[in-house]
Amino acid sequence: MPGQLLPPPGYEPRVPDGATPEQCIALWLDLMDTCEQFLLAGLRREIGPKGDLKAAYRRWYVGWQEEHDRMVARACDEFNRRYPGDGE
Amino acid sequence: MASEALVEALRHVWRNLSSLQIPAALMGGIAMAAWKHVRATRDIDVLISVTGQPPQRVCERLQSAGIRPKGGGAAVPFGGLRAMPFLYEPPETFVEIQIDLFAATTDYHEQALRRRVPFLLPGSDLRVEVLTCEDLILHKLLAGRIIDRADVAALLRANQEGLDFDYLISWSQRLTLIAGLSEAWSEGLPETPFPPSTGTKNE
Repeated sequence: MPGQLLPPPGYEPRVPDGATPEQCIALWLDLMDTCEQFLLAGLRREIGPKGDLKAAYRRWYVGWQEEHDRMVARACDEFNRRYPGDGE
Repeated sequence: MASEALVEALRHVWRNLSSLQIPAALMGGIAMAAWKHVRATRDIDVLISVTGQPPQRVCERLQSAGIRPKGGGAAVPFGGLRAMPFLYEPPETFVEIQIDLFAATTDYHEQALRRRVPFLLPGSDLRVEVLTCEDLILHKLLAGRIIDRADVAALLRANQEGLDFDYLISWSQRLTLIAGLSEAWSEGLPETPFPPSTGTKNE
């Protein structure tokens, strides 16, 4: 169903026209750092000013890994179920 | 910074794989960024060939470099697609980065590795290789979450000009992913009919 996953063409955030792959990867690294700052701010709010931010981050990352592992396992199962085999 | 830890982990694992002369290709967020779709992700996914070196040898090399198998021991795949998860904590950081290795045990994955393309990692002299956009799209369709479908739509939109549609449609059909591809196409390129005119016969 169009319009559910992405904004219409021209309305979405995009990398600059003509950006090289290396420039796109640099943008990705910047975005990761920005997202981390928001994440750390959220965790700080959760644990309070005297809480252990590194421990909170580690706990969050373990939770992220668990979700990621489920996704990876599912993708592998899907491939193995769908792959027609070398003989076909 | 998260990016520094991730880049350091990537450098470390890539150099160890290269020292074994193993063909490898990045498949996760870094690969998506290389194909003009930038979304924050926090791990490293690598497809590796196992024709020259057995997976067990790869595991041993990584472990000797301080990249430890997650859960104590990496499950070595003998067929089909399976992930071998590892963890690595770069020096002077406080979190372990997850590195998932996928062994290329099928003709499809060997072909995907042969099609990989090189990129230079920004701020370093490290040349890495990533899956082609078509193969990245196929893996995203397999993952199947809403966010993966959105990634496919964005990748199609950003790379429409250079895509090998014959290859993409052919493998989408063989992996019965053609309905998902068609749906993502209508999202990413709503004004372009699917399938594109390539001479490929579609179901």
